[in-house]
Amino acid sequence: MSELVPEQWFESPPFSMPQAEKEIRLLNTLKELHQYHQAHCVEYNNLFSQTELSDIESLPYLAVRLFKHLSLSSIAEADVFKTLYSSGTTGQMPAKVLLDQETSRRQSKVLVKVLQDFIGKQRMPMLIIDHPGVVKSRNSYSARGAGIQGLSLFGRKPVFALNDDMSLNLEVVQNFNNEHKNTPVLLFGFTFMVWKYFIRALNAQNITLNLSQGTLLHSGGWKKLEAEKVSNSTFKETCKDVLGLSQVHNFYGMAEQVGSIFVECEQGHLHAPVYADVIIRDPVSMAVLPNNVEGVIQVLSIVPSSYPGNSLLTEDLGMILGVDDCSCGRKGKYFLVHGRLPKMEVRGCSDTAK
Amino acid sequence: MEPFAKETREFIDALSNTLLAEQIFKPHSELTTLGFWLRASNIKRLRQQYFAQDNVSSSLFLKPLGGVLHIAPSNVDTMFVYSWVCSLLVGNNNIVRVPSNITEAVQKLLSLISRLLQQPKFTSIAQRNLIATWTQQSNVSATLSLMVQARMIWGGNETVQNIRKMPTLPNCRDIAFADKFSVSVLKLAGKSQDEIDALAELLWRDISTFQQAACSSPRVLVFSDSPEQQKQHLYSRLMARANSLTNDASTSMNHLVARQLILSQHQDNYLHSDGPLSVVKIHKLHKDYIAWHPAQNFLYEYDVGDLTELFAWLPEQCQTVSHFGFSSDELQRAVAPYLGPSVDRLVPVGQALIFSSHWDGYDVLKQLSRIIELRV
Repeated sequence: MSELVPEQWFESPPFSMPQAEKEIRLLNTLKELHQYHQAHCVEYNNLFSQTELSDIESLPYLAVRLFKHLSLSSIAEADVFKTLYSSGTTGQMPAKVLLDQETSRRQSKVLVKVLQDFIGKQRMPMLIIDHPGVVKSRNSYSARGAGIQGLSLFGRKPVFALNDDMSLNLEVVQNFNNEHKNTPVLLFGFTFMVWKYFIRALNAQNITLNLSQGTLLHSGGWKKLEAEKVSNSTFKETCKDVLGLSQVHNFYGMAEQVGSIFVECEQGHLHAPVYADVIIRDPVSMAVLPNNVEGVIQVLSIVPSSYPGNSLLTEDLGMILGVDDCSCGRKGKYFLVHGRLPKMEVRGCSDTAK
Repeated sequence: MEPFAKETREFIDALSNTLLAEQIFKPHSELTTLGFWLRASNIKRLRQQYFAQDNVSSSLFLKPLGGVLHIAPSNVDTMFVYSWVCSLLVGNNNIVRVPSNITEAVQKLLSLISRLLQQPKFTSIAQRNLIATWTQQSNVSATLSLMVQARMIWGGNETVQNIRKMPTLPNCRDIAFADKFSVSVLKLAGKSQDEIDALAELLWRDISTFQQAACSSPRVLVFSDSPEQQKQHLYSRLMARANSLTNDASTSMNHLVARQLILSQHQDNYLHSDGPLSVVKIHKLHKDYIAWHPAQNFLYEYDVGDLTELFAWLPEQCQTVSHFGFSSDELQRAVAPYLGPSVDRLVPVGQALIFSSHWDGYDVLKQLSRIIELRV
């Protein structure tokens, strides 16, 4: 297993390798993983029999929605270490992925490497913008729970800002603020919850915090905030006004591809680390699109080996902005996510509900 | 009102004539189909069928039930008229819920209906019938459920379950239409190119109307005794029709997802084509495959030895079998002994979407009537 994804992957810094060199390395490892899944996952093998892979664009991709219908695995049942479920919008089937210890370990490593590049190595006091119940179960995790679990590695003495009913736990929040004001702290939560249950709840009670040395990491998509006409810049400004902090990093990722995490830099661009990549495709022809043209996002990652999740076609739209030349100094591709593919009304026989 | 009352027949005749005559309805083939179904000769046939008595030892009298609530589906947007007209014909009073997201064709149809109902001669129909929309979240359906003698529930399993949760009068009948799918059975051996060209046109009509989302639109092409060359010719004609359409991004994604789901399940499943028309050959018709079907010009191909073999394994939710190339004898022989709980109707290819008052195993007109027996 260790040859499958060589350890040296985790020795190099996540954002210093130029794209051309990175693609050669990625292709080597992704080819190995492709062959591994062909040999260990029947569904993958039925679907992708090809053996000739000339470049990363020729790697086959699984539609991310498959994980809502199928339980895809490349390991023996006894080796399942964790089962991860995507949160899924209400009423939708959750996606399911199976992790073994190796994949889980790689996921943590990559998370550490990438996030340290943005928030440093020091472990900071941490405020989780969620309620403690979300991480209680041990073997099956919602994506929300898993995200919090993963990010908790970066915090010292993590505390939860919300009560089980999603109301603000004012005592915890105010103690945290008093104890750590003007010292480095880490805040983490899902974008919509941070907005609705934390920032707006504080605002409603006319409370402002003074976490000027704090960093807020948040993820989960903008769909609900767009509906409320809250843009990324409004979000950031409000964070400064209410929380007193100016370091806010959104990141993009999905439960179906553990470990690939794309963090927003100081310029507002999402960056692909050395272990992962993005390709933009035309949503109808599936042809690879040039920079600055919007299409569906394909994500690549060397992290999963317990299930065939190394190359996934998402249902998100975005565009590549450039390669190796972001003014923040990070190498590789940088991009934007514009939201979801417009939902076609699935006009089945069961839709009088409108 | 009495079943098949003169006034009702005149109203339906006026509706039919206008639909078939006026230019503004021409672009909507589903309205032409509706107009054709409503024409006087068809209503006359329904009337004869309705009053035909085969029991000589007693007399049967047919009376309306009273009030009927119709919950119409949104995938087949003219369906509310068929449901309503059946009930209107047998003399019931009706409240029809149409979906709120109505198409241009339905808008035209609704304004025609309301125009006709304003005529003095149709006053009593206007007074006893209401077509409206309300959100499913409101309590309108629940309130009405307590007032009617029957509910016609379209829209599939979920709608049926939701409406069934609403209490009714003790004597209320539910005529419910569950989720269904349909197939075409084709026998191409010995058919000429011209015959296959004509078949392709008919098949395309059944597939493309309502974006293949109607329960009776064929989703599986079942071939028996069909040489590969003839199949390929059929596909090439269907693709020529499909290529005039361009899929939008989310339809393409839905097709891609369905193709990958099916192909991942068995090494013998394989892809024929992935353009605007996707064709996937399947090694068996698994229930999951039916559930994963994305509509919008997506076909499964399945080969069988003969019809009896097909009917032995057809899943329960199969509604319409449209057929081509089989003799009446072959069809009769396959239906009689082998048909299990599936298949509600067998019709020639090209007629899959034509409504029949025998639907989903119901005689809809009789279901909407009270049958009184007199023995002397």
